[in-house]
Amino acid sequence: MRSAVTALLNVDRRIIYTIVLLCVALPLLFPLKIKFSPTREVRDAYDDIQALEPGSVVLISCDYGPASMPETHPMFIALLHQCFRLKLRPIILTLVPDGPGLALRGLRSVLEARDEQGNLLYPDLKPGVDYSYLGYKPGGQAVMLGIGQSFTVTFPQDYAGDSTSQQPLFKEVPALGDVAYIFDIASVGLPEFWLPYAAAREKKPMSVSCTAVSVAQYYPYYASRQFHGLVGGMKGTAEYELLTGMEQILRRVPDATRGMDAQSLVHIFIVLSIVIANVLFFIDRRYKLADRRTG
Amino acid sequence: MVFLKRQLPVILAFVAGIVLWAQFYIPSKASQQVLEVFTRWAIIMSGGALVLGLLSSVHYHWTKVALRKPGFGFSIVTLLTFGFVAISGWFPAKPVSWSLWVSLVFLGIAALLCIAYLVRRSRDPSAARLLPVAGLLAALGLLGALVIYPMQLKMFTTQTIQPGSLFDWIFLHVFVALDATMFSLLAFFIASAAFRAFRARTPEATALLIAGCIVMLGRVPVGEWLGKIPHTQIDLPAIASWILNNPNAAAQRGILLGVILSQVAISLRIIFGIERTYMGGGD
Repeated sequence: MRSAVTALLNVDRRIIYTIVLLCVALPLLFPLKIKFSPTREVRDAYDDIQALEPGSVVLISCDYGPASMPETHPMFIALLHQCFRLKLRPIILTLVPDGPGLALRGLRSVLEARDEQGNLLYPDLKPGVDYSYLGYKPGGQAVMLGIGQSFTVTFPQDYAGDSTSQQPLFKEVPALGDVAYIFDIASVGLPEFWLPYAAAREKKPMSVSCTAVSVAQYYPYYASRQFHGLVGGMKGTAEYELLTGMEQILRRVPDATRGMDAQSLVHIFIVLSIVIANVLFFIDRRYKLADRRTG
Repeated sequence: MVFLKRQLPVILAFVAGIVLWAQFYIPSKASQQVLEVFTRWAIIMSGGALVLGLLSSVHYHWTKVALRKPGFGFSIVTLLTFGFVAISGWFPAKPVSWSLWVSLVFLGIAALLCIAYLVRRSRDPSAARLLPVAGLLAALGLLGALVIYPMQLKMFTTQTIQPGSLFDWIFLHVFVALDATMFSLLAFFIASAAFRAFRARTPEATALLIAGCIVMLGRVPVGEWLGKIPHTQIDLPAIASWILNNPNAAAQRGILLGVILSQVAISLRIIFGIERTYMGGGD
């Protein structure tokens, strides 16, 4: 018995890795389709966007890189679909150097989305009128303060190289104070800067989508309603996909929702590992105490 | 020199700090213009800092290769990758011309010959014969990539990185894949670490362990599913949400207040010249 306990406590890490691999891979091949419902934090963000008047401008900051892509990128896609369906006009930018490629790819995938008949879902959208993609600008807080003064001064050109001062969108919405909503999709700590330098300064409502690792640190802001909504990790994104009806729009299981089964199994495995390891730890400790008593 | 190195930065920090602090409380047009000017300077300086960081990185790796410090091979790969990706950014359109591919093959062979020379030069003096060949191939490659290819394509007419371009291909198939892979490995390490290190040794550790398990299960669909099992009646998502919204938020709020008060203290120390470590310690 004791040798078995010791052997289990010192189990080869490759066995653990293999089980994790199976927990991730198998549900992707054979989906379990476990049902889930949206939490209040995610619903608050979704409801805020739904409540905006058609034509309102939403600032979306894509502050994430490839490392957190599975958690954050589907959120950007769902939010863009929601905006375009509600005739909202997003201004998209990124404050991280590895963000522009992903944001552009996400925007293109939404603009090129087609219905069952093969027609474009949003055929009439024009850059600079119905949306704008500004790309990356270094500076972080300085950029936030800059767009508080003027979009066109801070970003004289959009990502395509066209002058922003000539675009109707920026004639109507010259600065951050004129947008209706700020949505930061972030894998880094930028939401904590967007809040004081942009949302609080311009008195604009703001929601955040972030990685599961960082969501815990944003709960104080959500509790105080400084963040109106909080979309945490892949689960939060999957809930947003559910609310937006992404499965009907894409006619397939959306990316974050598809990852839920794998995430569920991995979490179960980790929790079971912790429980089993602790039971073994206490049994082993009892053996060691008995050894000490017997000398 | 002491004035430029020590006193001028303190004066600049004091003036900038006081001006921006006062600006926040003065709601006038002139005050807004001051903020606009400072913001523009900050953005320009951030761009400059980015270039400085790149140059510093190149200098570090170049020195490492030149002095053949341990692990200099990785620095060669870093420098080659840096150069290759930077050059690929100059060609934002889809590569439809043969000249680019031939040029890239020439540059690649030249790079491999350089690496072979660096590796063999201490053991084999005749390795130097590789250098003229590498130089010729590099020259041909650069001629093709920087002159013939742009002429063929009428390059530099567009600024946007196009889908299918070399830069886009590198970003999507190399950078995205590598970055995502590195982050994905965390799942394996976390699972292993949870099994080996997460022990209920003390009451605090036990509380953390229980809360962690509840949040882990409550934040995935299976937590909701467990509550639907007949006779269980455990609403794990609600308990997880309570933990995050109450004890977690309270603790985070305390940490945040501490951090922000420290930031205020450090800012005041910098503005009044008490804190000078940001200027560096050397001469």
